[in-house]
Amino acid sequence: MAWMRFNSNTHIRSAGMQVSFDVLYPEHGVGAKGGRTLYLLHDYGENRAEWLLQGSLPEFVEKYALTVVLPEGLNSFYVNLPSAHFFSDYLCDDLPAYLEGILPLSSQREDRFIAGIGMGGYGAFRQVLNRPEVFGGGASFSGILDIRGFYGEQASLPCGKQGTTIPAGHLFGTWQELEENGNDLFLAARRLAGEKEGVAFPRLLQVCPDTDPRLEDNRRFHEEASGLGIPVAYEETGKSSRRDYLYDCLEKCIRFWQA
Amino acid sequence: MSFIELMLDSETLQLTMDVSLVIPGWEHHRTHKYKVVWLYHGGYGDHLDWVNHTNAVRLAEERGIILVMPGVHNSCYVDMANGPAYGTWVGVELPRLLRKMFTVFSEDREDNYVCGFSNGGYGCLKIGLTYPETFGHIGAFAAGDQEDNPFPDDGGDWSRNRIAMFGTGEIQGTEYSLKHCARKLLQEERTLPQVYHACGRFDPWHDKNQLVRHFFQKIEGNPFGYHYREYEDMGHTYAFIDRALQDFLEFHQIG
Repeated sequence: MAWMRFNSNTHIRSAGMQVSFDVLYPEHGVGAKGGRTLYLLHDYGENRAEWLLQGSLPEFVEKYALTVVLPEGLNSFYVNLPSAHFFSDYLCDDLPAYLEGILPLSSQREDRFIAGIGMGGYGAFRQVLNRPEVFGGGASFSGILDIRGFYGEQASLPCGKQGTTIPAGHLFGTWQELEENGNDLFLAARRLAGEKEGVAFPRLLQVCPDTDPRLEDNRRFHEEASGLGIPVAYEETGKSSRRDYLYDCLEKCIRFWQA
Repeated sequence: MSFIELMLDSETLQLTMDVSLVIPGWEHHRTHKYKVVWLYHGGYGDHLDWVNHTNAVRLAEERGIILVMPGVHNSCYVDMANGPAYGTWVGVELPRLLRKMFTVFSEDREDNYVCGFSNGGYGCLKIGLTYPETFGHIGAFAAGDQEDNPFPDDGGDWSRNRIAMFGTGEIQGTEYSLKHCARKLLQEERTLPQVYHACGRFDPWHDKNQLVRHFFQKIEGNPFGYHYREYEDMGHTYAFIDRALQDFLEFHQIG
């Protein structure tokens, strides 16, 4: 497995800043399996090293001959921020196009999958629901799926830590803008279900431990999406160490993608 | 432009190796192939030497060329007599891996330039003269032939290092001799790299550089297209190699 640490200083129109990402590349296996790519998104308060330090990625890269991309997402929730840093456009347009231009990766939708933990789970669904033509599917692990909860008198960090906070409007846009800007995943799901012609539904996987504070939101999203006819595989798991949980999620996600 | 730090598993060395890369541009089509400059560090250097001490990255970005900067520990870029085969790593396995991994490397030997400084100057000559089918051009900045280094076998650090790399015997007439490698290519009528060589007048090893210069300049017909450039006011410094690299790229109109 080759580990590539990218630092790109090109002022990417979308990201609006220098961007970093890591790529784990199966240099022995890729020819045979056609260059499939898994984009893995980190949690709030973490960075692209989170998945790296979890430690199991080399095993999955080699076993499944997958290229894994770890984008730096700061605390952006992978949306197009009101500050003109368009992390969603960066993830959906610039980054795949760039990597597929310099590495022998497939440009087929079915060969791109996006998944993440916490904020990354939200991010994965945010891209897949709003840009279904880019990724064949997405997975959310303990995803923060209902962001409307951040609006109100006190915008709080989702992990509950004390400290400076960002008003929800400066992340997800104003309450009014939520109607249209794609950041409300429930509305995005509704919109996707309404546009049945064109692109086939992306495949969605939701995993959430039954002790997770976001369990209710995850249940509600699953209910909503299923009700709309969007197929979402849903699993509630037991409690385990974060490390084991992430391993488990990776395994489930890749099997789901390949099925 | 992307600056990439790469960790690659080498079968040859049974090690995971560090390589720095510059890939210019951002929007690519798989059909575009960039020229590649393989840039070797000097003694006690690593894959970040050129990055930290020169404008190499900026030059690559401005000129739209790929830079590959491998770290080779303290091996002088050779298949060590008593150690791993670093020459095969940089000359064979690394190009093969990178060309398979990235779709934007030109594989035309005319587009592949192997360059280096000091030990890397020796190294780029050694690799270029060993694998001329891969590298069409050599750019050696402050380069001597190991054959011309006296070998006091005194058990000191330098000699122990030397033995690990080249063994205890004479280097003359072996694969570690640049002159031997050059003569061999001529005898076997193989394809020849074009050799560019630069040195500062105040370089402590200036005399060793002149031995290399005289060797190439005495070959009738100049089949290696040997070109020498002396820098009147410079020594064995990063400032020198910064200038030398820029002038080399300019000389060959690369980018």
